[in-house]
Amino acid sequence: MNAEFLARLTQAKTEAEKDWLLTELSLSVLSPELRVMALAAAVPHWFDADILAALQPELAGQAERLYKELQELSYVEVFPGRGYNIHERTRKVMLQQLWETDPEEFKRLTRRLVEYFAADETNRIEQIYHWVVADFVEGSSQFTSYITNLDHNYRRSEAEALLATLQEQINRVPDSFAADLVYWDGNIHYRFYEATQALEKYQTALSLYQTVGARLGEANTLQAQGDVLQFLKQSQQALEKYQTALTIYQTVGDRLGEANTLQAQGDLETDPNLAIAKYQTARQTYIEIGDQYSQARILAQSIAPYYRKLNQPQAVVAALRQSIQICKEMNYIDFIPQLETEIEEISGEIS
Amino acid sequence: MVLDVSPEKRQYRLSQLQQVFFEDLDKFNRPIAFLFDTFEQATPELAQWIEGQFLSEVALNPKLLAIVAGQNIPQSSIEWQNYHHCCRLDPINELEAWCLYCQEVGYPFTQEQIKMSILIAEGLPIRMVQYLKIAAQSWQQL
Repeated sequence: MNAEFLARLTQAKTEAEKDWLLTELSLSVLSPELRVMALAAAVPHWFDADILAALQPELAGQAERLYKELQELSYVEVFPGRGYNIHERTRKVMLQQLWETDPEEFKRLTRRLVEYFAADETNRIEQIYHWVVADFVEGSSQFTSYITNLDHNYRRSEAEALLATLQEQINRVPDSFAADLVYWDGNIHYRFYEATQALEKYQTALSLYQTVGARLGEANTLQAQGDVLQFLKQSQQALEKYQTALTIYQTVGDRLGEANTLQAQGDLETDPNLAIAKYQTARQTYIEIGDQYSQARILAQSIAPYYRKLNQPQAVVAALRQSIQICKEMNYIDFIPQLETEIEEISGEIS
Repeated sequence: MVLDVSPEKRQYRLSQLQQVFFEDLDKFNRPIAFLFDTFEQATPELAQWIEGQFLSEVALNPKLLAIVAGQNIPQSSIEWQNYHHCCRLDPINELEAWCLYCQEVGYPFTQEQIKMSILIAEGLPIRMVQYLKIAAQSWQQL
């Protein structure tokens, strides 16, 4: 065994190959069930007896014993407050090996972890980390929903931790996901007014989306670039980005993106009639796709202020009333008092 | 949760929190050491705080000491660059060190066998520990 091992070690070209050879040798001296459990234990970032039982239900009866035996292995270390983990370097080669030799088993293990962590809201990042591999469509949708929530609530550290954790799975998910992660990194920077870093991230995301031909991602990134440029008062560059984004949205048939871009173009339009025309086209699109929230928003936040700028108070009141009506229909009542106050102010001005 | 607020409020709260944190530390009448491992896994915001405000405060207070380990380490700044020492953790190829380790954990290897193990595992601690353990289990095969 030793001569063969040394021969293979001599032939190994990379550090990862050498690490795997040694890990393989370490695994070979374990009992079959401990070997199976050690490989499974590499899939989560940490493990305890319950996680081991969830990973290998057929060994659940032995989970406590195997958990104790795993703790004796040289590449297992304490994970503070949660149990133990396989040492980072060894874990990396175990995961790579498992993914290359048996991706179905890898996915099966991640599916079990998605179910296990579903019961625990505090481990949402770990759950999504496994979800994107177990079922990419659902996992990436969960990712978008969660990071949107983190972003809107200024939960920056969690958002950054989520992005960094998912980066580990990048070779096991479709290529466009790498671009998604960079795009969201840009969004987080922009949320904290870090415009330069946001633009850098968006530019990287744009190149990645273009490389893999993900046109919707490309359009979303162009629009995001436009938003940052608008924030930096670079209106002409922003308009160019919006126009390219609009063309792509129309090509791929994304009507919400199309409407949002029209609204953004309206915000930058210097000709009042053209601005209102853009807003009305955007609003019409929102109506056609049944997006009530966006209808209420464009009436209150774009159309009404613009009429106010044009000194057309009756039109302002009409837009705000329409917005209130839509808010009531969708039971979005938080927004209403603010709109009613505005109507009162303008009515006062008229009288 | 205290930081789930707009950037301006967040900045204000962070500075307040930091101030009281270091004031509290100052009340201890003995040295305090902070140990951070795997710095490369810190989120950008946390990493920025450690290499910025945190280490600057540590440099100002002689009672405080920080050890930061990782595949990346903080970029030194003018506030603390004269107070730090950076050391690279290379593979351990010293025979004496591994002889001592084997003696402490009870592996009965000869110096020649340990020298061979260092060559095989290239002195990398995790590989050495793994290899010596297997070798100890299958003594005849080393």
